[in-house]
Amino acid sequence: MAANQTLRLQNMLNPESRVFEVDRVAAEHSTVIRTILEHFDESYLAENAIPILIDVSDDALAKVCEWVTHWKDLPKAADVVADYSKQGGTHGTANKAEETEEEGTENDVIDSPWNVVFFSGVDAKMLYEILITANYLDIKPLCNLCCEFIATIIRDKPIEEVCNILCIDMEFTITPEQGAAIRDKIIRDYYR
Amino acid sequence: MADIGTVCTGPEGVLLTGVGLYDDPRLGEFKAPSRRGIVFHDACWRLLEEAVRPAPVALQRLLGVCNSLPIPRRCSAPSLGHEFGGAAIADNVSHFPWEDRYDEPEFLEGDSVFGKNPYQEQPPTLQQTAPSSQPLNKDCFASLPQELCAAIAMYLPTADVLRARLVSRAFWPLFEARNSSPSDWRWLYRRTNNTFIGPGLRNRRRIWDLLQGVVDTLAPVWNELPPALPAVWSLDPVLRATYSRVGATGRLWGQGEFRTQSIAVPATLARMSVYTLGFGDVEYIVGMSLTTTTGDTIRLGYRSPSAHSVELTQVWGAAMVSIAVYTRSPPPAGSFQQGSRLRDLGVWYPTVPPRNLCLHEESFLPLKFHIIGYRPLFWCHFGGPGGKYLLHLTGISVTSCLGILRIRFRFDMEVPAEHRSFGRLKEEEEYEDVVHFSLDGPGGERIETIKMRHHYPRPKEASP
Repeated sequence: MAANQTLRLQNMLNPESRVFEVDRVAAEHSTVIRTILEHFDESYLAENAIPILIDVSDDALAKVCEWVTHWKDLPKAADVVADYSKQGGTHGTANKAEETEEEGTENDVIDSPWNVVFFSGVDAKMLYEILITANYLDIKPLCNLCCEFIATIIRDKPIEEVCNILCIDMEFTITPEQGAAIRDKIIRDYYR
Repeated sequence: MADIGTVCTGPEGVLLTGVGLYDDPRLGEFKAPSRRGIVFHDACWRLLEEAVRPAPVALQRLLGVCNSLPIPRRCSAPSLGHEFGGAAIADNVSHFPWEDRYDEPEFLEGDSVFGKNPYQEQPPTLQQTAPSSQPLNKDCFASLPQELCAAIAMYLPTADVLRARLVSRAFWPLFEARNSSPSDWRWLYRRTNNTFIGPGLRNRRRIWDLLQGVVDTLAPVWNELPPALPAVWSLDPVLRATYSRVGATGRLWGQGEFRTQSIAVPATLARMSVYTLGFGDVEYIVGMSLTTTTGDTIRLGYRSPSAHSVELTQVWGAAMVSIAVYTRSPPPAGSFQQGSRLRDLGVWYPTVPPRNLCLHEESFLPLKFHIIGYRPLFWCHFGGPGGKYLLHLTGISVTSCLGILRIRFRFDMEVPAEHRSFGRLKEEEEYEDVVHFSLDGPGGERIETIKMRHHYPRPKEASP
């Protein structure tokens, strides 16, 4: 099968969803799509779009496609695991060094200014959808990147600010009296 | 009902008897095998086995230690010399150290937790509501899968994760359940937390901490003398039969001697070391070693890791209850009657009276009575420095019951507590007589004589 083959993706939960075209090498970041490619022949995939069955917007799916396309040359997570297994658990530092120069590593991805731009225009709902799409398609680097980005939002910030950034209503703000009642209940339930 | 076992001596040596029972540790009866021994609560015994693991409990040594525990005055049970990790309270104000001075704190009626094994308790099933499966209108993260929440949490310190729990329901389950059975692990954490440890586990840890002292006590190794003593240490049997034995012999306030070792102390003795062992709040001598100028060393008693010189306040029978010295001639007659000998040779509590305090030793029993065995002397300087309180003395109260238990001095001014009472007594019981003597003050009375009848037991039946 040609490495430069173009695959088509479509969200089947949304009848009006766009069909996204992604290079095969980029789509292989997804372990789910890799598995599909192993089980469907080329002719079928040429005629049919790969179904995406997750309730996300086209915009989020477009962002995911944008990300895998940009980082299509990054070593695939599944390949790294396979190489690791072949080498009997050793990291193979020499090979890794070569890859670093040519293709980059996950650390480069995390620290990349491109990713900063990628996430800069993303609102909370979009961030959530990118994360669950990456999780659904099992795109580990993107999934980790989203988790770390959310952690960055939460880290060292007061609750009010985090709620504001993530557009969440503060439904758990408690009064001092409520706090005292909760502490009393904890003492009653656990320490008596 | 709780299980008990007894460490006792049987025909086949020291053994742990079968299991007995008691239904109430305070008021009920022990239904144990009818052998005299040391009773152990079964749960405590299991903890002791854990504490000494992998070695088995040294029953012979344990029984020896228990039998050597001192029995306080007017008490039938031995004293361990500590407060049982808070289960008892030492009353040092109204009791002397050689008396039964441990009281139980207030009676805890029906506290069933002490009979339970806290490790048999299982965390309750989690009652917390799981996050909603439908995202809330204003919280798109509410339906985030738990594995993603956990992945986000991995990038955060605990404090931030806890804050995140207040931001979104999605982060609620992070500290709730981590396996298929939703047990409340926070419950278990709080039950075992050092600060908020529950009463059952606290009691178990109290026993465990006490057992560490028991393990240390069992550790010392007895130094057997070689069958053929080197000449420098060997005791001439002829001299041994001839010479008299003096010193701090006889019973201390322990239960007596268990093992005796006799050696000759050579004139070339260069160094003497004592081996000590801490138990309760007291450090005891358990052994000693003697070294001559030529480097010959002999060890007596038990050998403990701690070998040093200590200032001794008391010696009791953990191991060494008697140190005797044979002299070449009997003590000169009348030598104990000399004026200052009592101050120097008696066992005084809490301190030796100062030199400027006249003791009137002729009014005491013969000195030999006071320096053999453990018969501490205590004193009260009720007249105050230079007798300055005497002019304010208004009365004397004597509490007695088969002997004088306490004398109180009453003054018409504020006098420090140590000058107001001679002897320690918690409270006067009904059967105790209290006789009051009033003094009218200076010029009002003239005391010519004070007669007092007191029964001194013979040395063989004496107790402190």
